Amino acid sequence: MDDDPVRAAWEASGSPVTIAPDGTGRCARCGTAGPVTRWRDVLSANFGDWDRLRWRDAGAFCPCCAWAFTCKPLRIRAHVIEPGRMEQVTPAGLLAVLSLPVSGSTLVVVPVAGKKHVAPWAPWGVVATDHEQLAWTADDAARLAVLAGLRSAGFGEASLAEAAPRWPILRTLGADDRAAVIAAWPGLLPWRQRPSYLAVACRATRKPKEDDAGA
Amino acid sequence: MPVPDDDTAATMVDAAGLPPLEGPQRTAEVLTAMAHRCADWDVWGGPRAIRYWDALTSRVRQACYAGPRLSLWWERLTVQMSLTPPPRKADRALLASLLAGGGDAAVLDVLRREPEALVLRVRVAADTRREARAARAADDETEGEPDAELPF
Repeated sequence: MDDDPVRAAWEASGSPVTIAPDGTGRCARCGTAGPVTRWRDVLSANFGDWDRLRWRDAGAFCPCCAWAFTCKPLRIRAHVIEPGRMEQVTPAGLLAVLSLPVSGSTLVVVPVAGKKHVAPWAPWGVVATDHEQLAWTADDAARLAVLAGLRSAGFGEASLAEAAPRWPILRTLGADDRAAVIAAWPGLLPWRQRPSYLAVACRATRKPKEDDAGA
Repeated sequence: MPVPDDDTAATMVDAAGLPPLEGPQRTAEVLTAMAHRCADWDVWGGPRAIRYWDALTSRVRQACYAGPRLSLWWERLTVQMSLTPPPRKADRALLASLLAGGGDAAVLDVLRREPEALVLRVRVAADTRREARAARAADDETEGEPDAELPF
């Protein structure tokens, strides 16, 4: 298995060359020597993650890394990456993937704000999101089922982050459902202390938009 | 409508059918319910009622900073929420046993960390109680005075 999920995703996508190389040298992200593109053609002037580029002094990117930084869907939509597989997933697809622990041969990319490059920094076996790379264990998969149940009961993304269920929603439920919601609510406490988990889970439980199948 | 002699804050929260709490959480829940039953509706009725539950939540937490004992918590809450003494003898006895029951630090910790959940449980209990009374009244087809003590 390739150690670099980005290269695996690039190869699974057919090794596209999005920007023609204009020289040779070392890639600023992966360190590969070969044809490269100047960073000005790949990154915007607002790019702020220079300290995460190990060979940043090279100032250029190989075709693989240039694709990773310029592939807009990879920056704003959820993707599942495995050796030989690079797939954009809908919320339902993301829910199916996250209903199980994320194995060491899978990378799940879930951008939240869509303004940061998430995939280029991620290793295998995590859920990569804006500010964190999350280990996704069996406990998290179980919490996702709890969260999906609460969302289907009518609780929105903002209310799930609160310490107790909102009364206007709770009062509309029957007695058994009220008791179930109150019993389930503390189960998400570990996620409330790390909001990135909640953000990813909420992406996985959204209804797909009519004009947009991406999560 | 006659009220059974054993009606207390504890039986009120038990009747809500929620998952039962134990230990300090149980004590904190019953104390919160007691505070609700002691609310002065001459103060909290009318336009103020709309913010009663939020006020109870924040003041349950604030009163935890009154001191290291539950009696101090109750005293501070009584002042801040304009609570009346428990109107029923059984509640007075229950309150005295809770305040003198020991484990004050653990109960205060629950009251400080989880007032939202505790107040919500009391609110569900109050709502269940109100619905049950309304159902009984409809069954009996009798008209009585509205429950001025627990309007929620």
